[in-house]
Amino acid sequence: MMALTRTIGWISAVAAVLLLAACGGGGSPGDVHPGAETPIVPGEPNAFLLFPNPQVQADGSLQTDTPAYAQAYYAAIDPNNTKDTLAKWRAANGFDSGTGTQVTSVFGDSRDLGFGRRLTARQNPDGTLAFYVENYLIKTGADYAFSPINLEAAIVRDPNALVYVAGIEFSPGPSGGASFAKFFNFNVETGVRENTVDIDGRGDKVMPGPCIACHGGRADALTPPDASGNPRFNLLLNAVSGARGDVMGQLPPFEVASFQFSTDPGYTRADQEPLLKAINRMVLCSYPLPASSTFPEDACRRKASSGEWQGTAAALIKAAYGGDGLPNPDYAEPAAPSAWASAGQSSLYDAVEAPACRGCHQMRGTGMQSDLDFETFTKFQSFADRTFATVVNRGDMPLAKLIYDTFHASSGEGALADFLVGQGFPARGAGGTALRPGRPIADPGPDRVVRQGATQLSAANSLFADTYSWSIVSGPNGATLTNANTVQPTFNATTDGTYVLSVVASNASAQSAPTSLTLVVNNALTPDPSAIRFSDIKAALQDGNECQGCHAPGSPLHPPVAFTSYDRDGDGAVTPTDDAWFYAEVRSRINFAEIVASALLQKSSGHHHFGGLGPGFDTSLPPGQPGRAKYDLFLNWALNGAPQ
Amino acid sequence: MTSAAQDTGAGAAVGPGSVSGAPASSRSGSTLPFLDRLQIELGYTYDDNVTLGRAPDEILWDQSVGFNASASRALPIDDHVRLVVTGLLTGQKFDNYNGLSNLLGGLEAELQYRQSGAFDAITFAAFARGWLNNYVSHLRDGSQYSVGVSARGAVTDRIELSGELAWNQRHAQSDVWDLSDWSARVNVDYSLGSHGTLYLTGEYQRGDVVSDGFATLVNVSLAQVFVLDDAFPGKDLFAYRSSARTWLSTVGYNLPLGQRSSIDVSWRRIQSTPTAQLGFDVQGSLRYVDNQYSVVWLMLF
Repeated sequence: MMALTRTIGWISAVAAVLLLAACGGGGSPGDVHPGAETPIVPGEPNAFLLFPNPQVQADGSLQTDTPAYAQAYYAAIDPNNTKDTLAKWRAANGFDSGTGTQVTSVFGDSRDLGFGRRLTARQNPDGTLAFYVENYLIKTGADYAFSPINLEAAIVRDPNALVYVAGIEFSPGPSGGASFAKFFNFNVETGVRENTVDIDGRGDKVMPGPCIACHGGRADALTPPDASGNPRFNLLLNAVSGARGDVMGQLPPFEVASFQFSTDPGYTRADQEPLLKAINRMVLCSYPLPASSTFPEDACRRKASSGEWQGTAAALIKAAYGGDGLPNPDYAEPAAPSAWASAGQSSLYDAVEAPACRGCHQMRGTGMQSDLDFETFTKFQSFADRTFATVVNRGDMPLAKLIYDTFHASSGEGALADFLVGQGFPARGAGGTALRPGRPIADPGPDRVVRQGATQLSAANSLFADTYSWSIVSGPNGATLTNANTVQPTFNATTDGTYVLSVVASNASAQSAPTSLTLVVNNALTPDPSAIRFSDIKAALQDGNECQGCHAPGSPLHPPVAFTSYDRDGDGAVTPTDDAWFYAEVRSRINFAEIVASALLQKSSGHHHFGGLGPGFDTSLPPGQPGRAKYDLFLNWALNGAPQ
Repeated sequence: MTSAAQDTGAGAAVGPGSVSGAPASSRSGSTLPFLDRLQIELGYTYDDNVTLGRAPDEILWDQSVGFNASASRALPIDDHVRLVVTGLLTGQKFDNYNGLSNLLGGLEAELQYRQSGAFDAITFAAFARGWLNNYVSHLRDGSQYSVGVSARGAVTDRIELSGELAWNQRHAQSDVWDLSDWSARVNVDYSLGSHGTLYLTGEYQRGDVVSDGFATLVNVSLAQVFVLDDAFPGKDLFAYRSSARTWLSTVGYNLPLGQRSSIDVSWRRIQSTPTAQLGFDVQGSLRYVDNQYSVVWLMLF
């Protein structure tokens, strides 16, 4: 009995030790699990690779990020699905056919997307171009960032690290005409064309949005369905191709100085330079030429139309290779353009524009209005308000997560803050620290004129906030505010006059500064804001020749949209379908994510608009003044959801 | 276990101890009360690949001194069955990479069955072992345990054969050292009488191993998890866990120095081959090889 008791005692002791031995672990902070997806931190900016105006629909969906958008896009550029697999697409574009010029280069995209990239480019004898790139990434659960391992994976073509295969083709549309860029994404395993792509590990986004957001493309809303009932892709009037599906996207230069290269023989920078120069020559051929040139590298370029992009990025390619004639064999990062240097802003260019803006912005602008290309300091300066909004407040610029992270970790953040402060924008906090997106910002919407009675307000455009506190700061007596601690309170005034309200937005950790909203109550306002319909907007757009004088089909100014009523669908008559299409085009110019940034309001009030300030759109006047009556009309329509 | 120096595996021996070829005479009897056996081992080991590195520039050597103390008490249950409880304490001090230095303590319980006292009767056993680990490299700190079965018996008056099948698991501060594996071991002791014992051990393991290497595509592709290894400061080496087939073979000689002490010299070779299939061609071999040379002085009390 004693022996048994002792045995049980020993067994218990051993069991206790074994139990202890089974404990522990849990992982250390430095552990990295390959294959883990990038975590998305709640409350931090996460609108990367989306257009600033993603076409918010009445149900809250982002039309540019819905399957219908990709389906309409591919139906427009490949109606018979002759390029719905990588193999078919490659064959259609002549890859490995032994004709034309075909080049493959492998490099690390250390600045923009972080991939190891294997790019194959070809130029066919007929001048059409096609590029496809295998993108390799070793996922480590961290933010997408470049690692030399990604480059290694591209060199050995590690199938486990291949995240997507993108194709861009520069060729005529299904009905012929001028070549334009078309964007494809293919499944890495099956080769089947896909409607979505996950470029930055932050989830699938719908094609072609993530590509063309940076490649100079537009994100116009879909137009009414065709005979099969499917919405059609927008047709841009300034597209030289005249093809639906021509989003005005371009082929960006390959900025070799921002790449990383292997030390493996055959993949060094010296090995890759001539290949990339050949590819940049091809890219240059896709750029329209705004003025005649006798240089051989320009011989393949067609004449630019005033309504389209003017091949602005050609200047970068030429400068990087030594100027016209491309005399230098190797790419070298050019010095700041003279228009920046002469303004004394070379350092701002080097710290901000070149690394964080230029890649996408040089693909933008048209011959009629090119402020957005930031080719001069003056143009950059003219966008200071939007730069403050998008970079410091919203966090949707820089557009790609990797560039965003790099920018905020660089001296560029401080340089931009200094610039913005100099332009009158509070880009630094109380302690002098450069402000970053993620703090709550209250946005009650623009100042406006309303009628007496109930007016629903909204702070839904506020940023990084989930609770709200409204108050009436000043105004005639008798006004009330109900549901003042909600995102959509109701303001009620029974007396005409000017009222100032304030809203503070908060999240769990911070509170915004109060933001003011001025409401001018005028009971004689006509029409009632809640009764404004598209017919009112159309009437304003077609009032005289102020808008439709330029915005008309066949206009020599080649605007992207016409404000006249015409046979949009080409069925020989102007019908309600044409009017629905017209409505979709105009609504497309409202940014419901940030009403004040809507093109419909910005352009008409003289911001970055070839036509300048339109009569009735003078926003320097207070709401309700006759000189901004049309602006008030458009604004109230937009604030009411732009009903048809 | 695949590298005694890194103690990257989950089970079995630590430090220079657990010598198989200890003379039979030293296996029984104790001069201490309450204990049937107290064994102290002091040793020196040279390890030519403490990182268990694959590429030449990933391979680092080191040498260590160590001790291993084990105290056993046998508790008879009936005429054929007894429980042997052993307390274990072991430590190693490395010369170049102190992060590998460690102190481990644990317990082992082995339930033994022997049908008779006949010379050729086989002893069957089921065992469980548990350790608590403390390293200078805190990423490795944690615990480990093994459970298994074994059999041991004399084939002739000179040859003794033993075998063991075990499941080993380890938990650590870093997931890299959260390991599990199966192991099968066979040992042959060949007695040279008063001239000592030659022994040969072969072991096969299937499961997790830890290696150190640079952040290359091959290593990251093999890795289930990796971490910057604090045991090799300034080397930019990452410890990574992968699945592998591992062969361990040991050849040793034990020379008695009297009734209660002996000297043991051994060579242990570890060869580990990852089981993961990479999707690309790799220059060179994916195999890791480690050699450990040990001299141990054993004392029995």
